[in-house]
Order: sequence, then structure tokens, then C-alpha cells
Amino acid sequence: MRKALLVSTILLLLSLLFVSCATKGIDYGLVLDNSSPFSIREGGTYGPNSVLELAWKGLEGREIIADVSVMLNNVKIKEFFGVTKLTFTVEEEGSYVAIITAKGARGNTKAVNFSVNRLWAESLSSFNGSSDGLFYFDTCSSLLRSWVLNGHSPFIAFYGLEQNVIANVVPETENVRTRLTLVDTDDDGVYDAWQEVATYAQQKIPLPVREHPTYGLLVPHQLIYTTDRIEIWQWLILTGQYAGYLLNTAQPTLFASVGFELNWPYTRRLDTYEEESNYAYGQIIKLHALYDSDKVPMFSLDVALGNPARDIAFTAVITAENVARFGQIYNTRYMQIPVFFSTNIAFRGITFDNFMPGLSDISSYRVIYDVINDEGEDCNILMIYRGFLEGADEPVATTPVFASIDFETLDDEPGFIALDYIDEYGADVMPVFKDNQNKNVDGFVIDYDTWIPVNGI
Amino acid sequence: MKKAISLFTALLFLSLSLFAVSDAQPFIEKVNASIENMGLSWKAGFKDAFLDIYGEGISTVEEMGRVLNQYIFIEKELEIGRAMGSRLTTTDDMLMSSLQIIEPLTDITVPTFYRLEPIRDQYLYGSCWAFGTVAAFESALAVQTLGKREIGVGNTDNTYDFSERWVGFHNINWSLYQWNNWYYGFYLQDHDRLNGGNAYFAHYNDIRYGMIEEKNAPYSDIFLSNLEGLPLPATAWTAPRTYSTRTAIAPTPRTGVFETRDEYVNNIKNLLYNYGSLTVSYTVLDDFNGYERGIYTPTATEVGGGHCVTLVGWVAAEDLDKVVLGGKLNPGALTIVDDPISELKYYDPTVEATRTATEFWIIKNSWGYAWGDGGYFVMPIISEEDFDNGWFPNWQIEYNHMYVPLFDRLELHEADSLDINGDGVVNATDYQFLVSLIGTTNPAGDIAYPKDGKVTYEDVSTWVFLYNARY
Repeated sequence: MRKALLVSTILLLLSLLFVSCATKGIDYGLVLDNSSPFSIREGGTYGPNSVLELAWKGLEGREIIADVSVMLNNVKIKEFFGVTKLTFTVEEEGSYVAIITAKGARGNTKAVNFSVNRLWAESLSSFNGSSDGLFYFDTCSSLLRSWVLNGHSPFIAFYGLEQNVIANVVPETENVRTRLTLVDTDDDGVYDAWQEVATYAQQKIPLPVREHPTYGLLVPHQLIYTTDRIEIWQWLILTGQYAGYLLNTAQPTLFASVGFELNWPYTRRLDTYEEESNYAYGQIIKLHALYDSDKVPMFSLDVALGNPARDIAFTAVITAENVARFGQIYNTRYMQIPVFFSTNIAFRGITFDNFMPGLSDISSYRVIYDVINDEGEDCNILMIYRGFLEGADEPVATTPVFASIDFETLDDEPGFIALDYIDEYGADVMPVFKDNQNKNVDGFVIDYDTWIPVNGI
Repeated sequence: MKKAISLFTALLFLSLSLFAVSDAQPFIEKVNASIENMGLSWKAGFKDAFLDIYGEGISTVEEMGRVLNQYIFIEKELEIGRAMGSRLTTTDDMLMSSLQIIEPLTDITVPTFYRLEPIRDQYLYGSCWAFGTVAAFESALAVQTLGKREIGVGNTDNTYDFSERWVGFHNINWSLYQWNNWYYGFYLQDHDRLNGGNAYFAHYNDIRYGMIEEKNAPYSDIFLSNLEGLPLPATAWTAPRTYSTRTAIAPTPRTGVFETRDEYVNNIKNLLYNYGSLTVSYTVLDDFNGYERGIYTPTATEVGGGHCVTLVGWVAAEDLDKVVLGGKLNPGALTIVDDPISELKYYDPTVEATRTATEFWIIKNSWGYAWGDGGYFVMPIISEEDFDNGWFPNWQIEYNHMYVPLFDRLELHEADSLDINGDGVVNATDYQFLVSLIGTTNPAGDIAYPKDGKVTYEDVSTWVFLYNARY
């Protein structure tokens, strides 16, 4: 009897253990529910500040309670517990992973990878049929024509936006229009600085009206605004046989050597009378880019050690400020940069720092000798190839140095080192950026003006 | 009597509607007289359905040509000028790095090959370039990802229908192009206009913006208008996107990239055969708009604009009397030519010389099924003489670059080993070794899609791509 009881007890315990294990091991068949247009999809891309829905279901459409953690660039930023679906805002750019873990289940975890970047939003952006980018073309009002023909002088006035934070339970944002004027601090005839002023009288800037010897009286028709300048590039002919035609001058007229901040709104007003009764506002002026003015992902060349003007040996560096961050946002896994140098300069070595956070760097290079660049100069080319592997990052801190390159001068002839590329199809000597799908990545900036003159021994 | 007047009035309106282009008939008669006089092998003619659509509100054939032929050739494409990149939405160095010349591993010897993919209709916009870009994208996706490579397949069943309006939304800002070409270097920036555009920039946008399906930004919403600046519908905002990874280019032989005509033509045929239909462009001569059937060669030299179309195949002279292009909507459609020929001799007034052709391109237009031969036309492949002389007549598609998107993906690399140095381990030394092989033809290093028989940086970036996917 005791033996039978013992066997029954063991069988009971075994069956309980089996049921317990079986329950914990239930496969819920977790699948994403993409039925909403705002659903997060595997591999999907969204704009910053998008409100997205993450939904899932089990086999036969069962509702599944789960915990969810959201990672941005491998760092956990949000957690949700015991939810059946959720809606949240993705504010920052970068690579996201949402990990859904079904409660009470073993091995029922689903990871969803998606990206948030400005490129997505920019590709949908347009304002009133405008041109969105780093250059803004501002067409002056046709009123300008009648104003000038009636003997009035035209003015232009710029306005900026300031935002103040007002304390409240939820802080308020106050938008304030500010008056901006341009000043010529060095009296060279070109405006070179912005200044905030209090009144319209201080703000207004005369627009040039020209008398052209061939075409007659000209007024600005189209101005171009950039991050570092304002130019007049198209004029309206007011008098003579070409009256009404537009004139594109061979070289635009530099109006100011300062421009506008990226991704920030401005406007302008054209005016002619002293009193403020006859004016024309322009469109919203906003230079669009994938980065803000202080976050340009730029490669540039500099001298780190020695003096190429007098030393035999010196070290050049390719600095890449904001590049790693931009690369992370667009899942960049491969970067290639050519460095051109004169044939009387010898390449002596290259070192690579840890560059890309969260990824393992892999780097190599080769030198191509005796190439003619697009300017017809004999030179050599150092091709740098850097890959970024998913997995453990190097245990040292990252730096913005893409590569440090040691050179030696071979004679006393002048030479150069430059970031450059060969502008021919199939040349393969060009900067290249690829993402985790082996697709070209847009938006990196190479500063080709940062070349290093080498003066020989 | 009243009935007779109203009938007369109705007929008058009908005829006015069909022939709003007042010089259509004299134009056709003049072109056909020239064709006959020169002994050419095509026929001019406007179908009523085409004139009814395109002729309304347009008074002359010349004016109709101006509306339809708005492809803008950019200097970059034509001359390969110096270009410097600096901070902008995009720069020419980025565009250049997305283009790849694919050297064929074999000769394409099939005499006739074509895929009659769907004819679209750009209507009154200058959006031919958007249609040419999308058509190549659709075809390439069908050929490369669905394996619809064979003759008569590709996207003929309309599996893929992507949005030309989306492409038009990302046109080039031509003011910027003019401005910086004079002064700065070469920047490119979007401008949401469905007016004249260019495929060089549009195919780069296939890569960086991707493509959305027609249903998410339908052309039908805007078809009846010709307003150029058009916002996207809300459905575009959440539409899934399909990206190409690179663009294959067949540069015009004017660049000097190709040494022989056969090498060049084989390059184009290889792209068509293995990767899909190509976006091509050419200068429209005035008589072209009236093409109806046969092999187009010019009767005159007056230029009527630029146009972008899609190269869908080629046909040998001996097959010209067997291939029917317009059969989809017209069961009675005829073959390209009526009688068998072994070659075509024609006088080309643009080079003032007689040429002989034995093979011809089959090209898809975007002016609806009612134009030309069921929406298609045929023209000779560049002659040996013109190639060797370096003349390249502007009415032929060889005058400009041709493009087809590429779609790399993991499935294509199942047979590619990352153990480049063969030591049994995949690690950093393989990467280093692969870089050392650049410029060689070592097959161990040829892992990029498409295979080109040599080792380039593409193989290095592919190694990284595959390593991240596999390890």
C-alpha cells in the first residue's frame, strides 16, 4: 500500500512538473500586428517625433500580455509592463529595437528593428511648392517694379524667431518675432553680421537698384539664401527694349557674407515707402538639412604633428566631427575616403582610433601610385576603407579622428595633401558610404577645401 | 432642318475636338512625304484617340512637342565636368558613388529580346523622366527579385506599379543647378515640380528616398491637370518604401569608357537581359512626335526638345516582320515592318551620311497606348561608323547615359564565402586580404552583387554587409 502511494505521489509530481513546464513553454506564436498605418514595421523608418503604434497578437489572433523595452542605439530608453499594445512617441533620431516579451511564456520574445531619421521626414516635406534644402530661392514681389518705376527706393527687412520658455506645470513655449538687420562691420561694402534691433527704422536695409549700360534699370528679382551668404543672382529689367525680361548675371552679387541657421524659420519683408503701409511679406524662409548647423557630419583634413612647411616628417589627420553620430542614425556600416598627395611626398603609415560607438571597427587601406587627378596633376592616392561590425565595441573611447596619416617629404618641391575624388564613372576613387543593407548613404559632407600645402624640405 | 443643324454642329464640334491641333494632318503628310522621298522604313500618323487626349487646347504639333518633350540634359551627364561637394542636402560626389559600370562576364548573343511592359501616360506634364525612372525601377525589381528575367516577362504583368508622382515630387531644383554651376560647384536639391527633370538625379533618389507604390501617391489624382507643384497625399506619409541599393550605368560612349561599338552594345544588352529595362533619353527631332509604326530615323534636323523613355529590348532585322508591339489593346496590330528584311539602309540628315542597321532598339514611350506602335517605337542601334567616328547622333539613345537600379540582398550571396584568405576562419585578416586584392581578378574576392569578375571596393563593402548579417 505504501509502495502504491509512493508511486502515485511520484506520478502526480511528475505530471504537475510536466504541466508546469508545458505551460511555461507555450509558443504564443507572437506576430506583429501591422493593421494600422502608424504601426511599427520590421525594418521601417519614421520621422522624429512620430507617434507610433506597436501591436502584436498570438496564434489565431489571441491577445497577448507582454512587457516591452525600447532601445535606442543599444541603450534602453523606455519600458512598458503588462500591455497588450502601446503607442509612444519616438523623439530622437537613431536605430531602435523594441523587444516584446510575452508574460508567463518562455522564449516568446520578438525584437522589432526600426529607424528614426530626418531623411524620412525631409523626403515628405514641402511648403507651398517650395524648394526644401540648403539653398532657398526668394522671388521678390512684382510690386518692386512699380515701386521703383514710381521713384521709390526699395528696402528689405529680415525677421527671426526666438522661443522663450515660461514656467508652468508643463512649461510653455512663447514664440517671439525679432527684428534682424545686417551690418557691415569692416566697411568693405558687404554685410557681414546679423544684429537684433528694436525698430523697423533700424532694421530696414536698402536693396540695390542698378543702371546697366546695356539693359537699363535693374531691380533684384531673385535672392538666394544659404547658411553662409545671401546673394542676388537674378535681376528684373525695368526699362529699355528688354523691359520685363530677367537677367542672370555671370556671377551673382554678394549681398551678405552671413546666412541663415539650418532648420530654423525666418521671414523677410520688402518695403519702399518710409511709412509701413506698402510692403510684401515673403514666404517662410527655412533652410532644411539632415542636421543642424552645429551638427554637420563633415570630414576635413588637418595637420596633427609637425609642420609640412618645413619638416620632413609630419602627421595629417582626417577629422570627422559629427560623422559617427550621423552614421549611427543611418545605420552606416562602411566608409571609404580617398586622400590625394603629391608624388614627392611619401606615405609612411596610418593609424586608426576607435571611431564608431557601439560597433567594432575594422580598417584597411591601400596606396595607388602615379594617378592624374582631375586638375591634371600627378599624384598618389591613399584609399581608406573602414567597416563597422555589429558586436562588442573596442574597450577604448571613441574619437572623431577618422585616420592619422604619417607622411615624409622627399624633396624641396612644393606639394599637397587633399581630400579629393576622381570624377569619372567607374573610377572607384571616391568617398563611399554604405548602410546595413549595403545601400549608399547620403548626407555626409567632405570638406574638399581643407587641403594641406607642403613646401618641401 | 433644326435636326440637320444640330447634327452639323455636333459633327463640327467633334472634328474640332479631334483635330484641335490644326496642323496635324499637314504635318503628317509632310513627314510621310519625306519618309517616302528618303526611302525610310517608318510611317507617321496620329491616331484620333491620341489627338483627342493630347490635342485639346493645343494648336500646333510643335506646341504639343514642347509640352511632351521636357527632359533636361544636365551638363554633368553630357561632359563630366569637375564637381566639388560641400555642405548641402546632396552633392555630386555622393551621386557618383552610387553608380556602377557592370562589365558583362559573357556576350549576350540572343538576336531578339524584349519585354513589353505596361505603357503609362504622363499626359500634359513634362514628367517623362519620372516615367522613365519608374519604369526601369519596376522592371528591375521584377527581374532581379522575382527572377522574371526571360524574354517577354519582367514587369509585363504589372506586378509592380510605383508612383511617378512621388518621383516628380523630388525633381531637381533647376535654379540651384544654374546658380551653382556658374559659381560654386555642383549641388543638387529637391524641388517638388512635375515639370522637366532628369534621370541621373531621380535614380539616386531611388536609393536615398526609396519608391512608394502608385496607390499611395496616384498619378490619377493629378492626371487631368497640369499644375506642376503638387503636394503628396497623406497616404504617402506612411507608405512602405522599396529601395534600390545602387544604380548601374551604361555611360554614353562619348565618355570614352568603351573602346568598341560591340563592347558598348553588349554592355547595354547585358543590363537589359540580366537586370531589367533601362531609363534612356535622347533629343527629339520635330518629326518624331508623329511616329506611328516602323523603324524611326529622322527626316529632318529641327530639334523639338528632350525626352526620357524606357529601353525594353532589341530586335534583329530578320525578326522585324515577326514582332508585334501593339497587340495588347489592338488584336489587329501589325508587325514592326510588313516584309522581311536583312538590313536597313537609311540616310541620317543629322550626320549627313547613309547608315546600315541590322539590329534595333525597342523602346517604351509614356504617351499612352494610343501613340506610336501600341505605345512603343523602334530605332536603329548606333552604327559602327558613328561609333568609330565619335559622332553619336543626338536623336539616338546612345547620345546619353542609360540607367537601371540594382537590388542587392542577402539571398544573392548564399554561395559567397567570407573566408577570403582560405584559412578556415572568418576574421579581420580576411578583410585586410580582400582590400589587398582590389584591382585583381581573384575570384575569391568577387563577392559583390553583381559579379563582375574583378575585385573592387564594392566587394569590401559587401564583405562588411555579409559579416554583419551572418555573425
